[in-house]
Amino acid sequence: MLALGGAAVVLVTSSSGGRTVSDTVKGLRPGGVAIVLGAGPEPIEVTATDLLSGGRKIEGALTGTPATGEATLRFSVLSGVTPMIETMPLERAPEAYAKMMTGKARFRMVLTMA
Amino acid sequence: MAKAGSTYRAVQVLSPGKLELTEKPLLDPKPGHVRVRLEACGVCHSDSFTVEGAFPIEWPRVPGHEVVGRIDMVGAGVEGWKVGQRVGIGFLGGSCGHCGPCRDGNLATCRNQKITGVHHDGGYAEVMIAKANGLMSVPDDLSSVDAAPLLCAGLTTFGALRNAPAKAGDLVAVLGIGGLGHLGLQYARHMGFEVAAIGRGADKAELAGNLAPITTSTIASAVRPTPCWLWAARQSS
Repeated sequence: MLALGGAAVVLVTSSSGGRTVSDTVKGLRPGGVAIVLGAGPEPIEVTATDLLSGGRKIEGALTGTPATGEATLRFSVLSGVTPMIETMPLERAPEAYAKMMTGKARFRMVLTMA
Repeated sequence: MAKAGSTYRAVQVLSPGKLELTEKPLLDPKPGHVRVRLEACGVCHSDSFTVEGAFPIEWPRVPGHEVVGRIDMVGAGVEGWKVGQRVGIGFLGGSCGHCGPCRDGNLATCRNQKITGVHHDGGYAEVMIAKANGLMSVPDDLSSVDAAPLLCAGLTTFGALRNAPAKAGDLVAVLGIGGLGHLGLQYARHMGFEVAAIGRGADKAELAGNLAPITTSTIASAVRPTPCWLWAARQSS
């Protein structure tokens, strides 16, 4: 990432515990920010030096307001962004949940109610 | 509108890890709430808060917070929403309007916010009752099954990128190509950023290239000592 000049932003969408974020911070350009989106029980480890040099930042972001949600939907229509989904009927929810938890969903399981 | 005494199907959590199909009584919405006849609900990793009991939960509880359906009954005092309208319901169940953060305009950090599928029943069901001020309007051009994951996975990545200190042409990296990451990649591309994807597995590397429509890709140096690839996308023109 540094070979590309460093990232302005890294979205950390995976489980963010341990050294995941500290390794990511090293790839930020000066002033860049790692935004943590994936929840996990483990503490995030990062050295002060990695933050001090270049004023790099780590922050978290939690979903958003209904207005931002509507902007998400409108922007998705405008840009043609769609999720990759696998649908299952409601009664197969336990199977859909298990597939998601084991990391086998590509990429979002969606329950349908006929 | 369903008649009194009727029921709807739902999948609820009885105890940690135990999901079961059940019938629940159809109730009218309380003041400030609407009743929604559901069409789709995404399955999010945060549903594990409910299913595995990471939050204090009163079981039984119906999980699910990526919910799309049509309003079939409007409770007293609700303005701006009508029967038949297609709506989305996300993780945040609706702000209170009177706490400090709300009065300061920070609805997402409302101190009295209830979490959908955690504090009250969510979208693994045919019917859900939702607070009106947490609702989102769903555009006609979006199918319910496509809209559902955008209400949490989409909103989280889109919102983070929209508020991020990056300008068009800057490099934005997405770590983890899963439920959130595969959407984050697409949003980053369409917001005009140069996109890098960081993940594991050649199958996902190829997929990342398809999600961010670019013309060349290279596998560059890994940022972690563990088996990992960094895939960098540059637009050729």
